[in-house]
Amino acid sequence: MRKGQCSVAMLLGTIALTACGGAELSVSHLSDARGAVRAAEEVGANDQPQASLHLQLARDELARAEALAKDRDGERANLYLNRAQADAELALQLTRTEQEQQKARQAWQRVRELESPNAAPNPNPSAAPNPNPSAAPNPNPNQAQ
Amino acid sequence: MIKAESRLFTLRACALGLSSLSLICAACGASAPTPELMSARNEYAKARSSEVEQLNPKGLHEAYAALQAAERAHADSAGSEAERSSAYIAARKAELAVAQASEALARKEQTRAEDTYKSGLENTSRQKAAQSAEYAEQLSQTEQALQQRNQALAERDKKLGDARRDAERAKQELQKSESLREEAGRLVINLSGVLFESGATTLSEPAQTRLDTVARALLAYPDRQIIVVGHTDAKGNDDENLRLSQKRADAVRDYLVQHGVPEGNVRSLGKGKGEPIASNDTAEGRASNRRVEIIVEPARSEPVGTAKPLGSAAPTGAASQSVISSKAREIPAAK
Repeated sequence: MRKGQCSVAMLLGTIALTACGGAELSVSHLSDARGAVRAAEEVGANDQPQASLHLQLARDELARAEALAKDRDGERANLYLNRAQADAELALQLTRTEQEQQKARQAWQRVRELESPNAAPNPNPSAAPNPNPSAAPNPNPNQAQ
Repeated sequence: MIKAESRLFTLRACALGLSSLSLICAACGASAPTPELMSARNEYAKARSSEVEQLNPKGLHEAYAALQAAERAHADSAGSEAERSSAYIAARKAELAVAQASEALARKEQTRAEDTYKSGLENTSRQKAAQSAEYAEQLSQTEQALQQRNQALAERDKKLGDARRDAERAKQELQKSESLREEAGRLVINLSGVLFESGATTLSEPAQTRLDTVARALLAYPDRQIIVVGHTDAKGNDDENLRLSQKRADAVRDYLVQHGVPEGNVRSLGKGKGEPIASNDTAEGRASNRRVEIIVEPARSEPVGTAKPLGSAAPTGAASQSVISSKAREIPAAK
């Protein structure tokens, strides 16, 4: 709810700036997009292939937005900022999802070790099959565009 | 629950509206959607067909709102950068909704695994507790059995002590009557006198009284081997003497066994006239030779050599000869 309110405020700010100058880039919009990229980097999106792809897209789009802003094309810059923010948010979410799935696999591995104490621990728990795979939604539904 | 169903209904109504809008646009001759818009529609459809609707209705709704915005941009200015950009974002929103649902499902799985683990730990703990209780019960039973055994041993020791004291008294009685000696580690009990009627093998009453004392004394040596040896004087047929001495030794052995001496420890041996301890030329000598000796062999751990050597009066021969009494009493002729 708060995020939605912020987005609305930012949109109003952008509209106001565009109306005044027509080529201005919203500072808060730019800051939000940069923050989203940084947040994705901090959770480790670089280490997860699909997330890494979207993080790179976000960086490219951010760079494109900054270049367009320099060219005083604020309208298109804002469109690229929106794209950058969407890709960064997706990269962050994909990383979190992978981390939670890893934790779930490790938790099931512990259960298996408890049930079979003589079994050697799995050196690569991430490769452990999901005990209930049919219930898991596709963890990587994204398609690069 | 009702709220969720209402939201689901709204989402479906919106989807229907979106489809209708596309059809209207097509009918009006609107331009074809951009690849970005096609992708956004596709991603949203995929999100709707999975479990996202149940796991992440809010995310799916946001994806739907983004798709609506893209559709409006398409209607307003088909093929514009604004349409492509909003469609691109709508596609990302749909993917985001799916990823959020996957995270929620992973969290549920993690919780389920942790609950299973906890339950497994509790089961293991209960099993161990039950096993410990079983061991404790077994230990208690073993301790009880041990205690009973110790009590039985104590009772046995007490009885054994009583028997030994009794045997010691009997032994002293025998020593007083000069019937008991120790020679070369062996105890030799010499029974002479009227043990049997002449020519008979049945023990006389006085003999039974004396053997009662002997039997009590022998209880002090439960682990020793005992040999009952019968002897006769030199009168009469050799074979008959040998048979008679064996039968008399048997009678004494049987009496001792009946009075508590372990059967496996005692054996009898008839030697006839072969081992005299006195001259057979005199009545006194013959009386001494007509006798029964009870030999208690030394314990296996007792060094035989520590005992005093025999007197030279003993005739040479078999082992039993070495313990023949040199103090046989004169007894009236029994044969």
